[in-house]
Amino acid sequence: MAGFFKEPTLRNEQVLGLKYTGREDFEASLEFFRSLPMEERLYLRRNVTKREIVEERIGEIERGLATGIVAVAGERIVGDALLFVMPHGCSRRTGEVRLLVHPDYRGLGLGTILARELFILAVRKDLKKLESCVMETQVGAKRMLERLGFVQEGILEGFVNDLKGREHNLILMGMKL
Amino acid sequence: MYEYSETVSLKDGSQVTVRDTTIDDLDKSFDFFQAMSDEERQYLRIDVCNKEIVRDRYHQIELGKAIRLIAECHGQLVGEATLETMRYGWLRKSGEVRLLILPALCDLGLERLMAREIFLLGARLGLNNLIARVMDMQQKTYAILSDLHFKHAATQKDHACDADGKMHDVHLLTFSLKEMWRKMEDAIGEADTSPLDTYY
Repeated sequence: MAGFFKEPTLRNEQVLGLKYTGREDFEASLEFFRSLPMEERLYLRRNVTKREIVEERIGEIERGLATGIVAVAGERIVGDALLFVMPHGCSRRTGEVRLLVHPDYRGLGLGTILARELFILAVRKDLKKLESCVMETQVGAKRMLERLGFVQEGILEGFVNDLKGREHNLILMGMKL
Repeated sequence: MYEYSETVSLKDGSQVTVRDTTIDDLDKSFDFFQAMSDEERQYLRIDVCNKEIVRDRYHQIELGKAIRLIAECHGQLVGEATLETMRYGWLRKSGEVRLLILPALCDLGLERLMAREIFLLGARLGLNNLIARVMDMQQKTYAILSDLHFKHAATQKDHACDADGKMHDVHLLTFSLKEMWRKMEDAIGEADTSPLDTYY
């Protein structure tokens, strides 16, 4: 895939490409989400292993509601980051971040690289705050957000259901820019 | 589509019809938003001065992502209550309550009435949880939701931006419908073993 805006080097010396997500990434995105282990897919906010959900995501990007960044190794997407911002209204200065790194590429600094790019995007968009939310069981994701400077703002008890229908608490996190 | 239409009286005796909405209400809806002051519009998440965006709200209803009740008085739209739901994903058993009422009618009880109706709608849909987001200046809305036993669950500090660019906290109020049903079932269960059962 062409059109990388950055080519960062991971801790294992591997060089990846970063590009903004577009319609052309549909199939590779679907493959990325479907390649995640089942136990991780259970906890995803949306069932992004379904074509219509990935279509919804791409649609949100095309409508300007979100900006996506994918990390590419060869032809394969190995990391996905999304910054949601409502273009109008009272939430227009607050962005929501979502970040996912394939298990094969964890511990190599890719999460931090993607998060940094989201921060740069957020600053360029003149945002005042970033928010994110994780299930209470997603301990690793919460730890990563905390390392990036997010703090816990609240817990919504029993508010979310995983793919198996089990209830979980939702942790709200935020960070002022 | 939830089929609903009821005419109610407000505190001053004026009659308001509360019903579900269709794309045929687009012009009324647009007029409703144009009649709002800039201060009132600052609580909204979308650009309601753009008719295509207002039209898209009806598309969200068709997609099953929202159910909306409107209040009409003398043929004009004076308020709406929306329950936003997700068909998929981890929030599929939760709904977000959104209320938009012309301020003059809030004092006549319309906001409380609409809040109650959308709450009952959430209950009928079998949702587990309801959530409402209230900016720190929306004390009346906060009070109405508290009266409906919504509880303060979290505060997202400096989440919302007003028309002047000033940041405000947003309070998240939640209601557990699942917990409500469980308590009711427990109460009914206790009633089933009351002394009356042994009368016969």
